[in-house]
Amino acid sequence: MKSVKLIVNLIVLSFFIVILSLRDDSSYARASSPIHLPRVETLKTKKGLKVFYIKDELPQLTIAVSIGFGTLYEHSKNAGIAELIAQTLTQGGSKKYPADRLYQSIESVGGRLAIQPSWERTVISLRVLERHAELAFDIIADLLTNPNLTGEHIENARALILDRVRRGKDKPFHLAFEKAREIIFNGRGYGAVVKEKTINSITRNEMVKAWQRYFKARNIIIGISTSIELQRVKRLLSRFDSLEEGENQEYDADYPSSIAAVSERSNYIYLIPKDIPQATIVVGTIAPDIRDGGVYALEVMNYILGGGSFNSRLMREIRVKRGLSYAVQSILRHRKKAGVFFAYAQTNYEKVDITLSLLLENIRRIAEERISSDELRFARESINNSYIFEFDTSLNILSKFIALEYNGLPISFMTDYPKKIHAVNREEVLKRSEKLFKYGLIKVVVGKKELQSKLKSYGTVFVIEELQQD
Amino acid sequence: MKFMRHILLLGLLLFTTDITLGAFTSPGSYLEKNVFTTALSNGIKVVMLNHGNTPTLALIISFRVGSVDESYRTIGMAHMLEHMLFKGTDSIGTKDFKKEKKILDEIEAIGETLDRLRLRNPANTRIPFLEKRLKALQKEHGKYVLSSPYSRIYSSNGGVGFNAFTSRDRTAYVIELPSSKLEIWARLESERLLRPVMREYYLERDTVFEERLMRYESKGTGKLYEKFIATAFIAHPYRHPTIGWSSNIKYLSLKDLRSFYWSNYIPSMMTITVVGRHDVKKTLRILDRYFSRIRKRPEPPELAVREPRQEGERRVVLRLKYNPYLVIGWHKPTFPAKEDFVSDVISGLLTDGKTSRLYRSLVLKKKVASSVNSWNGYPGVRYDNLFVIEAAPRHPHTAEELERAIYDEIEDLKNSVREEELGRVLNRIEASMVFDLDTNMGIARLLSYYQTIFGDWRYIVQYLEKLKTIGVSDIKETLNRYFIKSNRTVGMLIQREKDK
Repeated sequence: MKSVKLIVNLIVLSFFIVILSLRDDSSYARASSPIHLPRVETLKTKKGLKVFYIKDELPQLTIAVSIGFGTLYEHSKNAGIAELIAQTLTQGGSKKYPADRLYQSIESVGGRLAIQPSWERTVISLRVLERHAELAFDIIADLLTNPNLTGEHIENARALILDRVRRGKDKPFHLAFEKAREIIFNGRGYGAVVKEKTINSITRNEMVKAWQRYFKARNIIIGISTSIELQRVKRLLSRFDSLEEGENQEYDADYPSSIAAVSERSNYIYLIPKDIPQATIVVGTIAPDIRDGGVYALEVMNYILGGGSFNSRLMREIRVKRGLSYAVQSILRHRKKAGVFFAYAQTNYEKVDITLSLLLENIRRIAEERISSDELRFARESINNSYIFEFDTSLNILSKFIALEYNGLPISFMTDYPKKIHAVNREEVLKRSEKLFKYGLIKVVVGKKELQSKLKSYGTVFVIEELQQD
Repeated sequence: MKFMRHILLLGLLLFTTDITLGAFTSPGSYLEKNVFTTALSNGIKVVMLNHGNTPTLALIISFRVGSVDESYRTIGMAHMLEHMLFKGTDSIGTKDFKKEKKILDEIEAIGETLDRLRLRNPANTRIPFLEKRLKALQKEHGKYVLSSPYSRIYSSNGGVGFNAFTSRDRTAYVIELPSSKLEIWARLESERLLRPVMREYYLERDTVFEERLMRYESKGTGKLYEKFIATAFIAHPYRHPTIGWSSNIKYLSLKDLRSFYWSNYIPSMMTITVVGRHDVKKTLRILDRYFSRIRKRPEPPELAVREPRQEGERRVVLRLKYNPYLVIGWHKPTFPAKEDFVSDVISGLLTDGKTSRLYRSLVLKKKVASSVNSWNGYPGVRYDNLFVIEAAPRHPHTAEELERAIYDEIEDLKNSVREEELGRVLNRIEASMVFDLDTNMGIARLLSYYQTIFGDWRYIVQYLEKLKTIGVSDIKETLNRYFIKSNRTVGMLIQREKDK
């Protein structure tokens, strides 16, 4: 087993943050001292399993097993398969630890187990006291190698997911985002929407196939934070030696077809009728790959537009100056191969017209006009001075390392981040914003059906009735 | 489970630091030695802990003032005030306060008149004229305002999580900052409390109304909980939603808001909590320099009403276009009554983890629920409150079926609870003490909560010991006495037939 030490870069990072945080005239400020981030060790087992380890002071063990398989790997025909596998594993456990025994074993020693799918990964996390480390590694290894993907557990998992899907229809926020994603990404990956018919159509055979393809050593990254010494952790990791090596798996992302979808559909406005007093408006588009050089400028742009809390343009124009909405924000997420941008507001249905026009107008302005020097300075300072909080716990640090590995990014992506943000200029923000928004925006509104006539001025209104949502 | 969650976080902190320092063997001894508690000359309580390796601080200013302290005229005012304290002072958030003040006075005069006219006669012909004038003034006022001034200063200084929250029991203002920014925070926060200017009031009131639409009016469970609490409590102000009713928010008066602020935001009701890496002595000097400027004022009179004993089951059923939901609550005494501790253990037995009784029975075995949770201490803990069980029926099962299944399990718990089971609950609590995250903000919230609500964070240490004394007979006694039909309120959300 190889062990790589990563120290130097982290010290550089901490030093940069401290310099920024000392820009203050208070004498108290100068008493600040450097950040001591814990050392992260990188290990690789003989089967190709990658492990990040942080020595923690707590007498505990946290294992987070991150399998490269989540919603982004799905399409419209099998949407929900990652969730179904995770839920079945939760319900059924493994051969050695079937559900009853699994939870009795864990909960009787005060442990906590969670198995959850996310966009790009399925994460199995287990936390126990240090003295139960053998049990924890035994459980995780058995879950990974001998899952109980059997009929009864699959059906129970399916029923629970169907219930979640039904209840999701009660949530306008959820509905609006789901529909916007589905339209932008053509029902694939980011746009794969779990529906009753897709969940009902997934067979055990498909689940087993997916398991055999994705739950392999080379497609798994493990993060460990524990008081246990590294040497012992290495020994415990040998429990995973029975995992098959497999291959690293990547999801598909058809960037050009999403661009085409946004272009073609940006003249429409999609209305999901719901008889509630408040409407939810979501607009969005596809964003670049995390490895694109423009992500820093776009981060700054988003901070100014709607990500920077009370001082963002959207917050100021829609909430503070006009009292039109409580929740208003823009969101930018960069991932491997593709990212996504959204802006949203929730407002009294009588004020949908003005709120939507303000959302669109502010996005247009940031795509067409240079931001001010003051805005640029404020955004860069704010992003960089708060960067320290992304490293304030061992789990946050581990999560950063896992994300870097998953996205194929070097450590310097993390350590150089503040410098890159600091180097962003107004021209770059304009150039990148223009590019981001040049294909238009997908517009979705969840609200009263009578909004249809009000929305006409924003494009051809396409009403999505409830049956079509299924 | 409010208590239980808090104790978990605290336990983690204690355990962690014991290990680091190696000198202490119990959480209590570490706390006694490391948490520094004092009061400024004006009565503001200060709780501080030097903790962690990262030079950051979690900072909370908390007032023992919540919606329970409101009258019928001011329902929602504690929350409204919390929003208004983001608006700045006579020197922060303004370009020219002298000119601004004249407009603000006129805006207030028109706003108050409009509210009065709308209440008396919405058809009054003066209303449109005044509305037009108010809009014009608000536009003019905008020229003198630097909106959200604190947020801007904190953000550029690396602040995260700048926010505030109001509950039935208290109001708190929170932020995390690099340790080097402590003095900026102390200066800003003390100014914020000393000289608030209630600018943009009527726009902010509209925002609060939108918040209400989002949290309650557009959510089935939001609507259900609001009606459920108002049914469970008849006399006590816990019955009112913290945000206020849709029928009263639009009449909340700016004059009343000032009065509420003046009577309630007083040093003796206030706690400052600082957790993170810092020099406690230096911090205290800074806090004293800035916050001691706030002058003492008399405390408001105590709440003079208690919820009368419930004398029969109450039920509220909403038939709406939402998936079904169920909530059941039983009245019970609050901290420090023993039944409150017992109720925490009952909550652990019923719903904590996948081996808990209700999860095993309702979700796994009978498959009548998709989720089930319980809460001890709802909707607040300063006064006697409710033990609540909430559950989502699993399609096609109904809320009624689920309700019956829950009562069966409670009966079964009375008859079959064993000491070993209590041990499992305590085990989970003790283990969680070690591996729950020890974030500065988590610890700060915990210390702030106990100090603000109960007047002493040390209660939490005693709480742990108290839990260990609870036995099977205590569980049975509490269930027999409080978990009975005549003492319960049931709320049901039923999907309308035509919407199924």
